[in-house]
Amino acid sequence: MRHSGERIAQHVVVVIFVITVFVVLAAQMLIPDETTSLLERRDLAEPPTWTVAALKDGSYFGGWETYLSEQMPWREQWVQLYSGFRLKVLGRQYINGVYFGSDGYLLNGPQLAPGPDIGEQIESAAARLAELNQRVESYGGRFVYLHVPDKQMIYRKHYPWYVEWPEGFDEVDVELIDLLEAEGVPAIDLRSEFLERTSEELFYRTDHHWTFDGAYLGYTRLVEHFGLTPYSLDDLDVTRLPNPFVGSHNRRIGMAVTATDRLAFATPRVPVPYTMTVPGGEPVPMFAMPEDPSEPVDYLAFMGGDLGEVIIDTNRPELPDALLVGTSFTNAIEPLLYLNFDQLRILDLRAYHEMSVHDYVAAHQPDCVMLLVSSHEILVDEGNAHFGEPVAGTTSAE
Amino acid sequence: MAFNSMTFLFAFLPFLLLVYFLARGRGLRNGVLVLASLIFYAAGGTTALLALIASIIGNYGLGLGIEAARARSARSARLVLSVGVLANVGLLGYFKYSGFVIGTLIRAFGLEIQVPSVVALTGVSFFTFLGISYLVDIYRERALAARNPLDAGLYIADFATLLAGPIVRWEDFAPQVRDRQESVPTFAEGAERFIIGLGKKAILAGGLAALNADVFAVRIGALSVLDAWLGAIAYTLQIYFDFSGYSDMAIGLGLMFGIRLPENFRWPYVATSITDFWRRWHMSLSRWFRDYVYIPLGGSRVGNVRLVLNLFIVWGLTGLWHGAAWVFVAWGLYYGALLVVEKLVLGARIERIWRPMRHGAVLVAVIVGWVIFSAPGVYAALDRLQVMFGLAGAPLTGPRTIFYLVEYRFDLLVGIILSMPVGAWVAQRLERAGSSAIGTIARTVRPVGFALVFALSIAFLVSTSYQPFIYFKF
Repeated sequence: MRHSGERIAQHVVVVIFVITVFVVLAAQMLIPDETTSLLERRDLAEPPTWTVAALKDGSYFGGWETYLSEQMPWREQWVQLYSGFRLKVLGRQYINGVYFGSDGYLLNGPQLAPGPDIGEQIESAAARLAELNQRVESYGGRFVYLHVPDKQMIYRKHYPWYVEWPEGFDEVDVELIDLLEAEGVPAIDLRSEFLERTSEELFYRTDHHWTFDGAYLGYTRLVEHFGLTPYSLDDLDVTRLPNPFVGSHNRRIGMAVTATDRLAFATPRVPVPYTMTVPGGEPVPMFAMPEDPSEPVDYLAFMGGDLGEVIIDTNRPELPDALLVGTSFTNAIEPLLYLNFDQLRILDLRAYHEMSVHDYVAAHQPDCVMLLVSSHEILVDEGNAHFGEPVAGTTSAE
Repeated sequence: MAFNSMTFLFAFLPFLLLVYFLARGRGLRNGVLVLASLIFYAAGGTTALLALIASIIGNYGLGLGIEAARARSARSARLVLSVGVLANVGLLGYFKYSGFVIGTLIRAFGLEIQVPSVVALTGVSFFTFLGISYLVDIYRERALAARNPLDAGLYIADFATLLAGPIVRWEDFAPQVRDRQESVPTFAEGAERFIIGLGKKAILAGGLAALNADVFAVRIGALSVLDAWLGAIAYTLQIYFDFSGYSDMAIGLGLMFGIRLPENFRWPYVATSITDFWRRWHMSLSRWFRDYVYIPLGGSRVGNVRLVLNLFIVWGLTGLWHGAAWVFVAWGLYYGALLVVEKLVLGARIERIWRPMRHGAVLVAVIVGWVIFSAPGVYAALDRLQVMFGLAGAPLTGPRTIFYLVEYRFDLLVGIILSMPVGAWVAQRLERAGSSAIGTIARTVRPVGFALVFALSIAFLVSTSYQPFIYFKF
């Protein structure tokens, strides 16, 4: 015979079960749909369109599943609950490709051993950089490759103790830089300098990008390479925003970590007038910083995010022109770099497809050409490491 | 539509509960369940639905046909049964195995024919087996044929069992079609069972699946011995929690509507022999093969040669039932071979072997079985097994071994504990605690526990749709 308390307990379970399924159903119907997910940075599903073909092949109900999953009421809170469960109850230190390191560092993973063709990849990357260098030198310009280390290289001590680094993992960068040096391709190896300063906040703890401090270091080395004088910190007003920071790593785990990161940006104390254009696109501000200090802010606040092509003119013809090609790491450096040039052109080859870098350089012949790509990206001939076919007449025999 | 989908949990189920419990009268409620089951199945595509409806109508007619024929002669009834069984097997063969058979013929004889493009019918293995059970049970006079096609429809198409069982016999289901009682305690039992199943599938199987996927994403040449064992153990636990969890959900759903379905799992990993294992794993399938294939073939009451043949026929078919690929046949025959050794070589001596040793040997055999089952092909399975048994020259540990052990320590530990009857033992003890303080605390905590498991399961399901882009900008 069942205890009456047990019956009550069972009835409570029924109430919880029934209320949950009905409340979620009601909320699904009553709460307006979200069109986009800010954390995921993508459009969310809409109700599927009814067609006979979709009904026949099952894709109609499949569409409902996607729609209901993505429009689940309080979706981000559910994701946070599960991430928190894995983190705090299951003791996981690796979720959705992100390690929970010491001192609040969220770090990339996994650490994969270089493949058997890594030697060929390094040689191919060095050859592509050498071709681009020759292209720039052919009209009297100067080229430099800024080798930005990955965050995982710099903050290795913050990884969980059991993460083993595969054989050959560290040698890849060294071999590439050595090969570039041997072939006479100008390169700035930021890796060594960053490694000497691992106690500094050169990268965000919850984002894979560099902080203002890291970007400032990259900026000074680039400008110095071309014999120009970088703006010192005394010449800049550095603003550190109090806003909560939405880091890329934190987004991947549904913002399960309370970040201490703060976004910082700098403006010259003596203003340098400029015009900023986005060819074929809407104008964007150099800094899109929220006025409300409680509003979240992320790395996209710089330069309108990852745009294909941006041109900043300062109308100072006595200064050289420059082209900066690179990933989102360039976004934080651009608001500093334009200060030293008459015109700064910026390309992100993931979004820019009008012409190849070789053609672009041939068409605009900038005095200074800078390539800023992280160490793992330069090895693959795609995105910002794909410069296209060398333009005819740029070989060393010429 | 799976039970652990958002569409099922937060659209299909609440609407069905509402309409079902508003409906009055057994006939109307059965009609609601049949209609809901057809909608449930149509979610996979309406082409498949037509096959299901054909199966219901066909088996309903054949069931009545067997009874009518029996009135004339036993032979006539057997003839109608044979036609029915062949029709069901034909349906299964066409939709599940035609591509496999023709593909095999092409490879074996170098034929230049095209593999037919056949619509995949989810659950066809289950509803055709139900169809056969329906006809055989009527033929054997264990139950009467349904007079109302909706009754046959409810048995064959019941959404709770349609996609993954349990495979309930018509003789067990028939009495519940017209004579069952929905009640709050039964519904409560069902809701609890459903939440347990959902938790097993989402929280436990989900975590273990991640370990298994992590391990076997690594190319076979880079796997260490321990990694391969960890991946195999993770899969062993994952498939148990996944399948038994789904069965729990099915049983729970049945109870919500007053239908009691047979148990499908009884702590299979505590088995002390392979025979024992198959009495505990996917019990409804084992019962089906025993009742409708093994015993009609003569069962164990035959000579040794015939027994070996019977075992290999049954286990070859069991393997093939799980999937139209040679790797499943190999898996079935592997169990056939183990059972031959157990029954004919070890015989009664197996009982004299130290119990923990028997248990360990069965576990290793079962893990090896799951390696075969989960591999993309027979050769891939052999490659994995070579690594596991140190025959491939792989190192004992690899750079990721400690990572797997540390990251998944709780999943493995909880998985191992909950794959044993620990939970049931605790529940029993608490029930016995009655009015004592421990009993009172347990009863108070119980709903909280279920709420937590339910919430975490939903959180897991929602998390699977969370796919942040790093670079995409609006």
